[in-house]
Amino acid sequence: MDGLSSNPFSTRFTAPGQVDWIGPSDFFDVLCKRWQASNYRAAILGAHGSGKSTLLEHFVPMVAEVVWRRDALGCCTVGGDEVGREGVGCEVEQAIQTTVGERQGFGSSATQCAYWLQLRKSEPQSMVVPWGKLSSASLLVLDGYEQLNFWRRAIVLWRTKKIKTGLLVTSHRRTRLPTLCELSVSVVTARAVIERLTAKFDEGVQIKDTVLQQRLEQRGGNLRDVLMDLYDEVEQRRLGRKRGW
Amino acid sequence: MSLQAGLEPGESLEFEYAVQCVAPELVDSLEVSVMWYTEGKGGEDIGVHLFQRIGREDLTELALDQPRRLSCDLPASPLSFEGRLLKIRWCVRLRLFLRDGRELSADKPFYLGHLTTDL
Repeated sequence: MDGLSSNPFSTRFTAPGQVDWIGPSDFFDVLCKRWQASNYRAAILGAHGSGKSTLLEHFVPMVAEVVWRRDALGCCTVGGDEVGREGVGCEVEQAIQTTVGERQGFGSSATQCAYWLQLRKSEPQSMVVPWGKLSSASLLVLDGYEQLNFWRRAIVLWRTKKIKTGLLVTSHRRTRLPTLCELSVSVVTARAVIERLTAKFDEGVQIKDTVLQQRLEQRGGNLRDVLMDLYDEVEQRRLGRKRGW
Repeated sequence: MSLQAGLEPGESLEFEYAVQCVAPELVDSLEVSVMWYTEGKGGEDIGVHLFQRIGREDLTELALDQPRRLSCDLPASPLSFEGRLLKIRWCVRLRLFLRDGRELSADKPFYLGHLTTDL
């Protein structure tokens, strides 16, 4: 029934973390080694829609035992469970109290806490970093680092270095941090994502590689925008079917 | 799961569910919810109208493959809506949490009201 069938390109299916990471099988091993080599201070670079937030979704839980997170709307979660808005809740305190030992390297068995902040596009300078919670056994993750002005970035670099806390950021352009990886979307990746999204639905999407390449170029390599275009096409097609076009 | 497909606000929703092809000893807990969620090009929102969780202790007394009947009165809003940019969907969701950490989920959609049924 068209009326109640989902559009495979809806945000609920395409949001970062909803699709498995697509890449070489040893990708995360290599990434973890680079992460350690960078002394736990690095940047993930890439254009809009190139997979930076998606990579964070997969990578951060690998290198931190407890993940406290505040999204762009101020909603806070610990380990994926909503715990409130804005403040660092007591749940994370409890989680951290159960941890033992100092940092022995992310990705090891040592328990770590990641404080993950998604910067608001409208007011990035208002970001409140829970400095009091950070220690050498924690990690600060900033998604959208390039939105901070020069001084805010300098403060983040200086304070995290002083506390000896880990720092992982995503940015559209180069930063003063070592680059963990630089992402871009290839036709092969885009096709794999589309196939995974449509696998569970009747909605077949026939798109040639040349057309997909063209669309990626038109959208500046932004896969998110390409998927949004496909969302519109699916809706248009369904509307046409209902109206007998 | 079986239930009525189209319902009106205030009407009683009656449905029954059964779990088949999953060995009862593999199941840690089970959740049934009557809920709505949004779908489209923006962020997702959800609301839970009815929620029932059956833990491991209670599961042992249940025969999972036998149909269990539940009912609830439906609210006045939000009504189901099938727009191009946004859809509001109602469904009964059954989630099984297995002892090995896996999670199985099944949705049975229904339509509340008649805002966009002509579409």
